[in-house]
Amino acid sequence: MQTFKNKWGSINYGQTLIYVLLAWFIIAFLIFPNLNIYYEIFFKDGSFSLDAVHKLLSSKRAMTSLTNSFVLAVTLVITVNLVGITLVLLTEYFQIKGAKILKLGFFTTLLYHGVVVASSYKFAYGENGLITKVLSSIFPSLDTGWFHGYWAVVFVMTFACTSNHILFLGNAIRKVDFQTVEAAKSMGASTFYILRRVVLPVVKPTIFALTILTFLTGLGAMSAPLILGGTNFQTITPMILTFSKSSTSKDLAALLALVLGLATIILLSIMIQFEKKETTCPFPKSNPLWLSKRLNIS
Amino acid sequence: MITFRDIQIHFGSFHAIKNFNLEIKEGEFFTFLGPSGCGKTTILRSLAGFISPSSGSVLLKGKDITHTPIEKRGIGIVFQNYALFPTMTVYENIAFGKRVKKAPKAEIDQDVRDIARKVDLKEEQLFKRVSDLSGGQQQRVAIARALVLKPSILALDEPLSNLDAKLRVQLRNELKHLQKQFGITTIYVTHDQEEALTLSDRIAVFNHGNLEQVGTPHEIYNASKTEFVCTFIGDINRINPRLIENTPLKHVVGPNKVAYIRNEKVNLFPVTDSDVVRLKARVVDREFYGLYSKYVLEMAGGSLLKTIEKENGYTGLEVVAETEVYIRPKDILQYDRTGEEN
Repeated sequence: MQTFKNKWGSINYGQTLIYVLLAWFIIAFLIFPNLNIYYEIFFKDGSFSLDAVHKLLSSKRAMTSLTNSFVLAVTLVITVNLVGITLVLLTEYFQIKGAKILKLGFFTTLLYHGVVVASSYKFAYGENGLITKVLSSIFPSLDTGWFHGYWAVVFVMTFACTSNHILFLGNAIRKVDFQTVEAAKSMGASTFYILRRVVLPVVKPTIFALTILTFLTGLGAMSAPLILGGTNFQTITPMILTFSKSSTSKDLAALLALVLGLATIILLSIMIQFEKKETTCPFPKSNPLWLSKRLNIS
Repeated sequence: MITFRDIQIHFGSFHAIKNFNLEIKEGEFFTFLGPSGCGKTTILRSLAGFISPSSGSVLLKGKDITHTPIEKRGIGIVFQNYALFPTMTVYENIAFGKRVKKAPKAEIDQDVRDIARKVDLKEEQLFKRVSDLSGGQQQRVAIARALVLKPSILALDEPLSNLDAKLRVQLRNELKHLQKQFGITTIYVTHDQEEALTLSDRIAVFNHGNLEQVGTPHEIYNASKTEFVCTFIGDINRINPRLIENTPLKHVVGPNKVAYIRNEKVNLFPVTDSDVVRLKARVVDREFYGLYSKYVLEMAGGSLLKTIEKENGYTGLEVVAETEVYIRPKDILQYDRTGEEN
């Protein structure tokens, strides 16, 4: 690196260039877009205004989408945890037959997520979908447009989001010290008692993190509500997209984005606080669950 | 009290335990000793009920428990890493088994406090998280958790292997004291020969899934039945045939035999024994350990012998010093080349 010495010391040109590029990146892509959102929301014709807030509160469509997003997020927290935890327990804790195939099936949502997954469900269950055609041939009175709205979105997103549980909760369960499970077993605890009192408390921080992640995914859901939500179930993100296209509702789009951002910040803060408080497994994991099942010798 | 009868354990094509037979007496401190992968933990796990033997039976007080569920065997287990429940307090850890058995609250409380006192856990430690305790305290919690259910057998699977050397010695003594205090039949698994020799009433030495020898520490050390046992326990010299070629020891060691002598049986000073063979040696290395020194001696024909000598204020031999060593023929252990004793 070339350096130049003056009365303030030496200047490293290469380093300076990196700092300049970094500053440009932070200002152009982080600070400016955020400030622009605030400007769009709170400044009209160059002066401070709360019009956007009033507009949002009086817009039935916007308020419904906001409510729908929170309802979807809360529902997903329940359904994804229910399906995800059950699935991980079946494949990693109880190690049922066909666990590998089951896991592989859920992993496909990692490969084809978002628009592709929502579209593929629509191709199968939508008005012209194969399953719907088969069902309507059996039940002619069946409404061919049955697969849309809240339940369709919840159904698709539940399975799409479960891959996170397979990845992270599966890993956490595999890391549980199997000797603690054996110790509990030797004292007469049943499989479910061990699960409730020994295994789940150890993986609680992971479940909590996954819950927050699922909530945020539900809150910011885009493709599934857009493709399957229909007119009755619109959520924030597709609404932001719609409002941002209109020159008169840009401030509304920005305010919705701000609400989304605030919710994310609050939840992430809670997660960090929880992680600080919780103890994971403080002991050496000399014998993880999967390893000890394969190595029974001393 | 415990009988292992013709136990065989396979893991797929791997034959972990081969025709294992053993009797353990009531109140004994019995140790399973051997290198890693020799099958000692496998046998302990088959006694505890974590593994079912491929064939053979395990008897407890004459009753066949081979297929008895783990919790009905009455065995308290202390695991290698203690396997304490990390999200629970010390009290909850100790009370776990009693709670599983749905014992009355008052009984749980009394038993937990009683056992905690006996293993020297202080009242204020009971409500700490187990992760806040030292290694030694965690071991006490693990023992208390196993003993609170009043088992007839205490099984310990290498409970000291994760600790530093000083703490290991300290806890070893505490363990011995506790075993004597409770008078409980204890089965201890270790690969550490020193632990086995100092703690045990009797030792079973394992190798490649076979039981090599069962005996008291004294028998195991001084009358090793197999070449494996003699080389696994303590420091020992394998006697090179060249060393004894032109000495009276030549007639002591039989043909097709391998001969060994323990380090401390190679004497640097004359011994008051009529049947002693004197050999010339040169000191090639000396390590001072405070209480004693270790010497490496070069013998006739270039073969080496190790010996130790207690430091009694004696300045010790210097490297390159010419000296003599004194060996009693009766101290030579010999085995035929297949590993069987003569």
